[in-house]
Amino acid sequence: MLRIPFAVLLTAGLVAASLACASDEQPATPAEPPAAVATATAAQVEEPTTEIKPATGSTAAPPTSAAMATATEASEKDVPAAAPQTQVPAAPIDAATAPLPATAEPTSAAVVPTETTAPAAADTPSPSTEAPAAVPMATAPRPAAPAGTNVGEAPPAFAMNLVDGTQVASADLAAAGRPVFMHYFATW
Amino acid sequence: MQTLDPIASQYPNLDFYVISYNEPVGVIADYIEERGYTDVIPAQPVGTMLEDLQVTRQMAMMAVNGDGLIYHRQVMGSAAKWVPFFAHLSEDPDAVPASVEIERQKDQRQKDLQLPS
Repeated sequence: MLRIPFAVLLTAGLVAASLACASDEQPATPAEPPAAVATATAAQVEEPTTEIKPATGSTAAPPTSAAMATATEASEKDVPAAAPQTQVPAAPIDAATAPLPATAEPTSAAVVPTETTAPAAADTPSPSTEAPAAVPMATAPRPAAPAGTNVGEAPPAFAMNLVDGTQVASADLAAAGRPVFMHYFATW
Repeated sequence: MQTLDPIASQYPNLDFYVISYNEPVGVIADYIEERGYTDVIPAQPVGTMLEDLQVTRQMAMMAVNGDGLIYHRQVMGSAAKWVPFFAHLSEDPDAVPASVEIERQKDQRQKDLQLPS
């Protein structure tokens, strides 16, 4: 009578102990991975913000981890030395810095196109407006006539003083489109 | 000038300038006013106008059309020869002399530029 309860108690105790151990291990394993994921995501989110600031030339943000400290130190050394494009060799230090050069280059590239597009836009309208206005107005109506003093030739430019003090140039006469007769004489 | 002013009055769309070699424009203007001429404009050459246009005789005349080309030039000619040119320019301000007339006037100019023997 007494042996059977002992055996039962022993088996029951072993089963209870094994169940207790199993129940203690199961909640412990799922609790650890969320903590690791949280730290990893926090480190990935903070990395681009801290490395973009030195690219723009502003003061460096406080690093949150050792990897972040090395990355910011490397970027701070590169910024005063050369243009933001030199930060590309500093980026391969961390595996998570792959998006960083992509984010840093657009910022520098976004500045350059604004400078280049502005003068390009200013240059393009000026030749386009000058070309159609100048060509037909100056050359089309003027017939080709040789310069000279003979009949049928274009005389050299001349000017005459009038009684009222004004001066009449040959260009003014031609612009008026009126024929002119000039009678030269002397009183001696 | 006595002959020119009545002719000029017949062609109001032409400008007739009388240009003196040696007299100031004020003297010519007073002369024109005393004689009662109304259709000629007194003027005085500026700079090397006479040299540039090769005006070498005491009395010379030059007609320029509306495009600024020399239409006719003459030295010591009578007024009767001017009238056809005035009439032609009055009808067509941009008239161009014929090639035959150009050659004839070039030959005449070469003779006019030669010194009298």
